[in-house]
Amino acid sequence: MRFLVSQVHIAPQWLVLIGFAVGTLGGFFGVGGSFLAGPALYLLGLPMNYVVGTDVAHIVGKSVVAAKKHRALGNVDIKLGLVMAFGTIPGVELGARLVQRLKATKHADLALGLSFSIVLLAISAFILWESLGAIRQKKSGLTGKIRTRAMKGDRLHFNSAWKWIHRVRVPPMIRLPISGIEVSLWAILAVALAGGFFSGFLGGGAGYIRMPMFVYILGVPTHVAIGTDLFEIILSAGYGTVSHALKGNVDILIALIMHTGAALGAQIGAQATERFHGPKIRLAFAPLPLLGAAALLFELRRRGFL
Amino acid sequence: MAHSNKQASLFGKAFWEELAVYGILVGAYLFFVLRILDRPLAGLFHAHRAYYAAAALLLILFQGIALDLLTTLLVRIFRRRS
Repeated sequence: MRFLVSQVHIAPQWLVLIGFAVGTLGGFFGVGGSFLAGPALYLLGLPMNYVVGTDVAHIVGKSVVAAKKHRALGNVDIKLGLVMAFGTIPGVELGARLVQRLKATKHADLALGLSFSIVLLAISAFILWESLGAIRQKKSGLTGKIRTRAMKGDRLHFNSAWKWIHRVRVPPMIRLPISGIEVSLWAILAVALAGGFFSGFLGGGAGYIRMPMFVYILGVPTHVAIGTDLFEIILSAGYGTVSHALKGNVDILIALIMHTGAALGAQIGAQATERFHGPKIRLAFAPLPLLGAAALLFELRRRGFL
Repeated sequence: MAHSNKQASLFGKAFWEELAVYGILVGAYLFFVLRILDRPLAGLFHAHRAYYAAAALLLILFQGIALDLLTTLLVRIFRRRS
């Protein structure tokens, strides 16, 4: 089928299948799924600026559904999500404008594809290292277990960053009872700005970077990080959809078709989170960005950019 | 053990039934969307980008909520039967 906005031929059933896979994984890991959706759309022949904009739009519908499920499970810190909006939205706009600049230079595919691959490789390596360490600690009975009520049962191998951030009490300090932490507003805004930037620049909701930052930098428990990240994705991807659509980077029909598969997948994924604990979720997440990076590099090479 | 196996088999059957009904309904919906919205959306994209941006956000939000209601309803119906 020919899509009139982006002028590409793609079979709709592929889009439904990708949506289903991404929806299931997104609901389970609490990320929008752009670490797979973006590379998959690129493999199907969509130019990179449309990959970014269309993926952002598709994530909106899916996150509304998944965030609602996680809210019912008590996993969403609304206060944290709303405070973050003040950093997320400027970040998204910054990222979207950078995509426009690259589009004008005709190097958007190479620059975005390479940036996306590097980010995915780095995330995969970090999460693998961290979650394996946390599981080893658990087995050997060493410390690393977090002692607040909200974090009961959650373990982190890499505790030093958020402990340091919590000690730096630059006012105003924000108390977040659902996450069980008190942290400087500036730390929250910095995390939000970075997450928003990646969402606007590389597409999707940037849960692949915001979720680890919630856990490792702000010290939010993994289950709350998953739900709050989905809530934040609604804001960042909602704004990103409008911004990218105005700049001509969104093929909404592609997003609508992908989302039909994602809606069912999100139901299955969100239910599955009840059966697993923090380090196991993070360990299972580790190879997925690696797959996305491999697909992107393969397609960049096939199109002659590398 | 036999009881839990029977339960798992009923759950699996309900899932596949649910998937089949969802597939039929979504297939019909997609046919409608592709036939009705294809050209008007392309027209908006080229002539009125701001309206296209607003329509894009509203469509994906509406679809998100509508499909959630549909999947929740299907899950309830089929899980109750199993």
